[in-house]
Amino acid sequence: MIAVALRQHRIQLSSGAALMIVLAALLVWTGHEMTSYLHSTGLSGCLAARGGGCDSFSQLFENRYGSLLRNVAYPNFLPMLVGIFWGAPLVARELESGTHRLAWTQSITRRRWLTTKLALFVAATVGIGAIFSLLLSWWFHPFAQLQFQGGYSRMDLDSFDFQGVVPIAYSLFAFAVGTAAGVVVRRVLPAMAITFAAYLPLRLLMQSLRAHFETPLQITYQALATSPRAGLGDWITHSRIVNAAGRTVSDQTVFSTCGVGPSVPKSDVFACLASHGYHQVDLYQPVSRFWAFQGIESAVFVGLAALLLTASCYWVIRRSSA
Amino acid sequence: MSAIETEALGRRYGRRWGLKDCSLAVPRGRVVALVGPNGAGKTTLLHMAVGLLAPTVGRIRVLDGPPPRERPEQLRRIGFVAQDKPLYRGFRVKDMVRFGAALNADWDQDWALRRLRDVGIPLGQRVGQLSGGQHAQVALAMALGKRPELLVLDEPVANLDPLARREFLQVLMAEVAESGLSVVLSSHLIADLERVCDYLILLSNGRVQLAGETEGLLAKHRIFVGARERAESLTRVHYVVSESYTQRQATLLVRLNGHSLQDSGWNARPITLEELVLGYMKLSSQPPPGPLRVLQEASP
Repeated sequence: MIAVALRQHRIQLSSGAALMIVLAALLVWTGHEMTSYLHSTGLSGCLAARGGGCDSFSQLFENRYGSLLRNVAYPNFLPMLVGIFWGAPLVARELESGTHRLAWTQSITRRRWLTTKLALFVAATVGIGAIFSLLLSWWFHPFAQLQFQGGYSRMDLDSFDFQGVVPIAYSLFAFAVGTAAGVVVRRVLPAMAITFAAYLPLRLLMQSLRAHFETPLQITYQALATSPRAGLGDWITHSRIVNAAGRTVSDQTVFSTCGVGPSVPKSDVFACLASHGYHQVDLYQPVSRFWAFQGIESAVFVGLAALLLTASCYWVIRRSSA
Repeated sequence: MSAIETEALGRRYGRRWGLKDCSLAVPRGRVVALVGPNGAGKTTLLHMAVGLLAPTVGRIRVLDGPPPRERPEQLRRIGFVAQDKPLYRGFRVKDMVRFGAALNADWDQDWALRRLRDVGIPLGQRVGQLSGGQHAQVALAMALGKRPELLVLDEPVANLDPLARREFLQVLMAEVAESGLSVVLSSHLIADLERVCDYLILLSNGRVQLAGETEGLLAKHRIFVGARERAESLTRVHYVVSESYTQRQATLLVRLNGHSLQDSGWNARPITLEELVLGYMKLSSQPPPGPLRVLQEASP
């Protein structure tokens, strides 16, 4: 049955592999260029010394490669493609073309037919997710070494999603959404559309909830100054300026009160801010929570995937008509 | 010993019944034609018999065992060729053969390969590029390759040109003669099946209107042609399945009940299977003229 399933889905599986190879080539190429830049400019040595003072150096790197970091948001769609091109057609194509009547009247049960296919694709999905995660973790490594202004955190939205175990969980979830949609609507294209429409909102919802997985920590320091935790890789989820009474003050108020601008000397500004009792208050999730957050988010998506796949099995074996 | 046996079997799709209150017995070792108008529930019945569908109500037994749904020991005993003969279009013929071998414990690889060679189908050919007749032959070989005791075919000759139709039925008949396989095939075109079927079940509105050996059924019915004004004398004594009139002439399809009809001035002639089926189909589409009696033949 495994051989039959492989034969039947070899185009889908080999397309997936081809896409991963293209992605890997792009990432290895750009990643290699970044690491050699780090080494050849001596920036990596500066960073390794941990003496600080590498900021302007880092800024050069950021100017050169920062745009790549923003483009990397596109691979975020890759798990969704697993759902659209692997999940949605898995059962729906058979139902649509009537071949389920052939497959389900051979000498094996529907249960075995479906579980074999699901096992094959779940394994392939985990594989793709794992390779994806490893590739991007490696690719992000130079950024993780840098401590330029604003700081890079592997907890950041555009970095957390590509590392650790969540890519596997997202892919499994997308696959399960596609499969379930195909089983219920019985047609490939609508199932693909449903996968798209269901996957993205759930991902965005979880992303917006992520900052609340655990109670954020708080740090208070001099307004507009560099945080004492800068460079530690925290994920700053919220930052504001409060007055002496602890009330939030709008940026406009701060700027107009203390005349922040290019012509005003920095020391005057800080003196003004201090005299008004302004403080910076940051809420943050320390990078030490990275794996806990990965675990929470993965558990949610893997749980949903398991639920959807179980429901699909039930539907095909018990409910699905001919 | 029946191939398929149902009792008050029914299947509902949402609010609509695809088959309702169907009780029948399909004998083994025969080629049984299941005929009826479109929407009569033929496909629904066959799908329940091969395990694709679960009944909503009632009971079905296949080869004197439970319905094959999720039962490999029953699935392996039944070969099925669905309507439109689904095959994987991207596969080559040899991939289809591998598919059959991998999914059927009783698969006879030699037989399947010989069969395909005999009908001249190259194993390297893509299924999507086969002609209609070749496609049908591959589908039949897939169903027969698992060496079933019962072969179920849903509208097997629809969409086939006359030559392909004949070739298809030839292969089928050769296999029946060789192995004593039980066959149930559905069709709304009885003319195609007249030569191959020895048992007929007419299904209409989800109910059995007529069931029996074709020879027996033909012997029990006659077409009478005679003067219109005398029609009533005949309808009083005999069960008239269908009637049609011109201004002066009446043509009646009559089920014989033993009363002599020799001296009545009617012109009697034997009936064809098609006329018989059409007569009963017409009967079921109208309100019945009298109490509708089902003629059920006991199989010997």
